[in-house]
Amino acid sequence: MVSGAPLATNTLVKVVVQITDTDLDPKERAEEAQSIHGDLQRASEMQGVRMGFLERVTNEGTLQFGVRFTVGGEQVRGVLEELCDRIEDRPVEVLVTLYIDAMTLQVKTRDAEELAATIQAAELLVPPRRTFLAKAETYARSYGEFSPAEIANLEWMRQQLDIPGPEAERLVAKALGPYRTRQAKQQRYREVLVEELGRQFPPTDESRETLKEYAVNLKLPAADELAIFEEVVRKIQGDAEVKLSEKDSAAVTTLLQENTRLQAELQQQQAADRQATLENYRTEFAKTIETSLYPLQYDQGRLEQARLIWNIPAEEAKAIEQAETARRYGGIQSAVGADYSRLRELLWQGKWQEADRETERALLKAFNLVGQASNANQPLQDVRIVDHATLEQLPCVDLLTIDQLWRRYSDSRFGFRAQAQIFEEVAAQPQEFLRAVGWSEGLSLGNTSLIQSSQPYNRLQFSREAPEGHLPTWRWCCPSLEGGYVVDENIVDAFLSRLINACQILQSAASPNA
Amino acid sequence: MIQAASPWTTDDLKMMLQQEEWQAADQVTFWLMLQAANRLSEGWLDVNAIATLPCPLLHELDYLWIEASQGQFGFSQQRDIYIQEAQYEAFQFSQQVGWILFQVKPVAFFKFYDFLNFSLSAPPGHLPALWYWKLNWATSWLTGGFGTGRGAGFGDTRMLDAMMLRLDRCSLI
Repeated sequence: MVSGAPLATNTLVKVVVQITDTDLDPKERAEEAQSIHGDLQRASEMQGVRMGFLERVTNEGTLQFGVRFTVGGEQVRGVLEELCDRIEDRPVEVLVTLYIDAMTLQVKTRDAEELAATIQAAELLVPPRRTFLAKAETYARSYGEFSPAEIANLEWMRQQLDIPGPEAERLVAKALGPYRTRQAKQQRYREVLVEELGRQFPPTDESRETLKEYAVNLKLPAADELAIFEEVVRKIQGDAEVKLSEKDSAAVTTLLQENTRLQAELQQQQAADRQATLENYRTEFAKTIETSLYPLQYDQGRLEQARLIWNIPAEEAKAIEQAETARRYGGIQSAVGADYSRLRELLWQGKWQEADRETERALLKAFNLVGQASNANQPLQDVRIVDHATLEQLPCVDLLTIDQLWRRYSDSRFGFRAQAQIFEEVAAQPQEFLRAVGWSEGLSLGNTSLIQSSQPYNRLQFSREAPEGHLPTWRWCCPSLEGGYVVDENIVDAFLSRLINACQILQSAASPNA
Repeated sequence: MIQAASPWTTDDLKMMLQQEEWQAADQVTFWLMLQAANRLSEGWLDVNAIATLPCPLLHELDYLWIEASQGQFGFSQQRDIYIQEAQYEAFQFSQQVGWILFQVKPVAFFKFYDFLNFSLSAPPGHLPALWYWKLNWATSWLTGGFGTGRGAGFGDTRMLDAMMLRLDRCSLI
């Protein structure tokens, strides 16, 4: 510890002042040297100081080119101030060298101010002052200001070192920097920081370093620096958020709206492109089924390739194919999940009898799916046949689908609509109807049937030449066929009434697949 | 003979078939069909009853017969013969399965039930048969018999076809 070391109050400083001005010749320098010697001799600080000349022996005799003397450390300031005054009055380049203990301070100038600047440096080299300053700086470094105990300690030290009051004051100022209290330092640093960050936020590494450096120069403790820095940064960020929410919210909203609009446009465009691709696929598929319900294997391969290239999911492609096939060959809608595609195939192939059997199969499937009153995926347990009481359960959608397929492939000769038309033509007389469609033969007189004979199912006419409305048969309501295809008259009445009234089969608008 | 109240089950049928008691099995089969059609009191089946016989029962009966006889007897065997070989011709079918006693064209006379062949040496599709033989007194007379069921009668296309049609429809699900 400095305070524990023996304090030397009588440090001596050796001062050498050389006249180095090259504008002067040796003689003039000698005059200057004598002039300076005389001026310093008259100064009050120099009383009792023995001064000597720096001399050189030449042809023109002994010429002086400087002065030298030794003073006490406490006298250095006064002597140098005197020299400054002298040089200010009569400028001349001098080389001043100070020897303080083992240290040397040298300055070569003709400017009084420059010389004055070295005064403090010189003073600091003097041990007592150095000790005092070191202590003050140590105190200042830890808190940025002096505590009362520290002030008391420094004052004691000043007296021990015999440092004059004003000088001690300067040393303290140097230790504390321009701002004496910690609070003032903090205040100042905050001001600078706000200014700096206002110019550039967030700060670069470089400006951050500069700020730290400034804090060191301010003698502001590092912890304070960091706290202030973080506090200010937080405040700036908070301000930024507030600014955004208040001022820029409108702009942000506009941006978002614009973004949404652009995205919507993009989506529309993509949807349009997609639609075009799907339309292409539809066209391609339509070509493959133009002449046949069964596309050629070659066409199927080509289509599959197109599907992959256009990146159409298999399910979507299938839906397109189904829709297009429906358009070209008739729809196969079912209200309950029955499948009419095989019926369509058989009719397209002109296999009338098989189509008739398939009509029964599909219709009974639909009928029993309704009766099952559950989902179509559950396998049927039983196959009920349609009777007078349960006929209402036949779904109109399915009946219209069956009708539409038969009509399409028979030029409207067959199908439920043809049968319903005949029923109306015969004034809703079941017997008349059965004869008209060729399902029974016989004679009747008025409403009385005289002879009514039926024929085995196999003897019915499964060809285009059959009477209108002959097909499809209603075998799905018959318990037996080969012993004679007989349709109950009650069922004739009920079924055709249902077709006409509930299913609106005579209205073309009600036939979705027409 | 079968008692109307006898609590027969398909387990009983299975046991009889395994023991190759074909005639008893035929009677139990018929009884189970009557029960399902709710015609135990009538004691015979008509076309409407046949047309509504439950498919699961027919499937089970068929399975038990086919399994026990290695495909010789059973409804599905009869149906296949009726559709594929007899082409929906009742007479042709009856002749093929060995139900006809003799024929004087165009009339055929059916065997009495007790004279059917209740063994595996019988023609394919010969059994089950009682469902076809049991008629009411009036129908028996109408079809040429003497009020003794199918025996000595002419056969009945309508009833045979009803059964075959029912089997056909049940095979569609």
